[in-house]
Amino acid sequence: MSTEARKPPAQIALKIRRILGGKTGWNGVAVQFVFAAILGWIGYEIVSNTRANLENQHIAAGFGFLRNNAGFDVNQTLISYTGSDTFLRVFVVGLLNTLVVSVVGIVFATVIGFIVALCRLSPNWLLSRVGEIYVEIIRNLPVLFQILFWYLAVLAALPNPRQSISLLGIVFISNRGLVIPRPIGESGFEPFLAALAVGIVGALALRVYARSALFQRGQMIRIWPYVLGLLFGLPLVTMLVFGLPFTFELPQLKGFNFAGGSRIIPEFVALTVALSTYTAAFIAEIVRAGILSVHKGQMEAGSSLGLSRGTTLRLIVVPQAMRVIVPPLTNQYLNLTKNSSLAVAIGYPDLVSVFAGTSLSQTGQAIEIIAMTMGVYLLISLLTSAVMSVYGWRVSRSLGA
Amino acid sequence: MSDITSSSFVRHDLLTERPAPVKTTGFIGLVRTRLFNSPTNILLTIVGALLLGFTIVPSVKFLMVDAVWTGKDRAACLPENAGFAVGACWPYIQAKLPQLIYGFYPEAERWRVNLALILAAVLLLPLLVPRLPAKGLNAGLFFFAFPVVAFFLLHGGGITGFGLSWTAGLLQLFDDSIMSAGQALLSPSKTSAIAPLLWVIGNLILLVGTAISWLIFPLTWLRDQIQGTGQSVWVDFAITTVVVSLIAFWLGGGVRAGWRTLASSLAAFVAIAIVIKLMGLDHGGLPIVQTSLWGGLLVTLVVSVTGIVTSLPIGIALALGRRSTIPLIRIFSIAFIEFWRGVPLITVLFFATYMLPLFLPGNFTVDGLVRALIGIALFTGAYQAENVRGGVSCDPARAGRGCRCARAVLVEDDLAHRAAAGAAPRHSEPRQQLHLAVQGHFARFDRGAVRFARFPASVVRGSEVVDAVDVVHRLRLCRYHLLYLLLWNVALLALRRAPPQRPPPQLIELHHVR
Repeated sequence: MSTEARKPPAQIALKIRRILGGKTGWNGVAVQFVFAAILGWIGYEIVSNTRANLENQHIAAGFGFLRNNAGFDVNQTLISYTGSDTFLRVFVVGLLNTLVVSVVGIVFATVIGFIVALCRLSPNWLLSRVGEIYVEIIRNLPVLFQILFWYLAVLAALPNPRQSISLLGIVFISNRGLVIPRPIGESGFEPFLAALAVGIVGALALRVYARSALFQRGQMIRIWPYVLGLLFGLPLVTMLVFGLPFTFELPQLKGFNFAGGSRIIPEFVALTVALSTYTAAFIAEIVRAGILSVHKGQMEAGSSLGLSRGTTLRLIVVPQAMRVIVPPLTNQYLNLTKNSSLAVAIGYPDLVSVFAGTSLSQTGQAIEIIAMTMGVYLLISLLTSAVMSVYGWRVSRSLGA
Repeated sequence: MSDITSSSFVRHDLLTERPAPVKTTGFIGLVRTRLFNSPTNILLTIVGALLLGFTIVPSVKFLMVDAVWTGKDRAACLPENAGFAVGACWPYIQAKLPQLIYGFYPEAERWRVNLALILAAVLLLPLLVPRLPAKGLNAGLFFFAFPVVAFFLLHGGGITGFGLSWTAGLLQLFDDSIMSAGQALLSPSKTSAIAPLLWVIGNLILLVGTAISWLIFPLTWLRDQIQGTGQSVWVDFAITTVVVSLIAFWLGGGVRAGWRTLASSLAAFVAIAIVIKLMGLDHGGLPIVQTSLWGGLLVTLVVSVTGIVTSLPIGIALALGRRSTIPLIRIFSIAFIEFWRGVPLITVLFFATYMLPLFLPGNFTVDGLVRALIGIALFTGAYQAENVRGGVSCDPARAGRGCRCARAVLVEDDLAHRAAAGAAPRHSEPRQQLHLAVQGHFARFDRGAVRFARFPASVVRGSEVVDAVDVVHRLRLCRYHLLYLLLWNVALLALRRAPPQRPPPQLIELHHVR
């Protein structure tokens, strides 16, 4: 009786089967064919119907319309724009407006969120209750409602510019928005910027050097006086040498409105306030969860090693808390960016409002415009999540998890 | 000796009482320990009190003190009528309350909205109380029957046919689409370079289309005959009842075990008949109220209930698709989920309003509310998919292994049966180890996990498979169980309640599935 070893199975065929059909083999391949056929059929239906519909409505498909004149005005533009500019310019203007409201909102939301989280964690009973009430009320009201509340109930109820509320005679709040001083560049502006850049780069280099000295030779170098000197002293010196970098133009009340200064439109104020307070409630809970997730023993272990309380916090507690905090925090930043599209409800000229709203109703190019708008948001989301997965990979690697 | 006694100290009188420790309980204790125990805390307390004062006092003043409470309408709130600076205007809200609830829904028809809301509450409340029985029936009524009834209640209108006519219509639509695709391939092929290939494919598709049209001819013919009779709805209903009940009877086990299924199927059809008769759907139904007249709380509830009900099946399907190992299905699910999660809801609504009508055939108009509902269903479905996936994959102790356990126990059970029936048991060493390990795990999992696990295991084969590949072929899961499992899982997920504990593994029940 021969006991020859059986031949090993053909690995290539197995591999192909695995790649094509996953764990289910040829059954999976068959399922995929059916699925592809259904998808193809749906795709065919959509394309043929859209073609017929566009032909009936006499709309030419394609992105040619982007070169046509827009013919409408936008009440907040970061780049120069007039009604005779193209729809492409409208797209850029809307995109910049979306980005600016998102960035400002994210900054404020982070600050408010951290403050509220610290309030909720505070041993002070009253303050932690205040934080809790804030979070519970704000989180459970729809964000659209809050935007409308700030715009229609708070800002519209403010006095007109002649009776506007003034803060130190510099900033004026009225129902026409917020008027703030405008910086005007002077002769010393470029040297000031250059000195600032040199200072930041120098401070970073010093930090890298100090850390490598600590890790490789165990040598503690005190760098903070030099860092302060670089960050503040150098720009100050350039200011003395080259003159002031910029002066402020103060707003003056003339007639029924303000002259000078720059005006922030009330829509922007309402949207920023609503989005940042709303997202701050979520951020507060995330931060609180992150800090509470670090075990009390970590703090005790740090002090048993002889580290001071601040050092323990900085080196042991915060890094572990950040690991928990950062991914949901980015999610909230994304949510804020996406929620900023609700600006269309109060007429803030963001991407959805000026491009998917006004431009769409003027040109009727629904497919192109909505695809572009969705594509922009999708791109922002995907980029952020890609960055986040890199971050998650690095954190899990550095913590050895 | 005496030295020690003389030098030792013995106290002769009691110590004076020390003062009682500072009270740390109750309100006083709270004030002492949590509010005013240090300078910083005193400062923080003052800050908190100021914050509360600056927000609560003006709000109370606006909402209550300065508010106008009596009157007919807004005129009562004008400062000259009220005589003081007016805050909130409650008479206005009172006057507009019906509009805030019903929108412009005709006043004579508002009982329909009320009835639908009461029906929803009556069906939803027992679903939320874990102790009440008949969760399956309840969930079925709420998730499947209620939306249909609510549609005919709120929107109105009747039906002209039933299952048979609808099936025939759908199939005919499908056939027309195939035929038009074939025609489209044939028409430009005269000039194209790959003309012969296109011609062949086009003709093949046309052939398939013709074959389908012949196949469905009995159905369409029957439908036309039924439409010709006066009682089209009832004739159609009777035929559908007979056909569906017979199929249920056959799938349920035939003469041997199918009587229960037959009875429940007939009961369901009787219930449907009663609803049709009660609402008069066979002759026009209730007067139609256009959705443009709906508004207020009604629309909020319609949108949210539809979103909740539709997002769950979509979410489960997408989540399982994302966990599948079949490449195309996984890629499609990932792309679909990430797309909808990456865009804001308002652009989805723009999409549903402006783009969706272009995707549909020209003679096919979709109501504005329905378009929004479609957009919301897709959007929330993608979010729900991630929730489901999180529940399945990030909790390996429960569901993930549960899947494997259920599958492995099925296999082992099958092998044991073959052994009992006299077939040679081929228990190899690793398999027995697997069996033991599985039994160990399985004892820890309750019935709910297994029930939950069975569903993915049977729907998407690629999602969770035990190491031994050949076992897949031994499993012959009854197809009709899919519906039951879907229903169960929808209810289970919706309730998120812990299923009742039952100590031994449910082997008999698993048999039943097979």
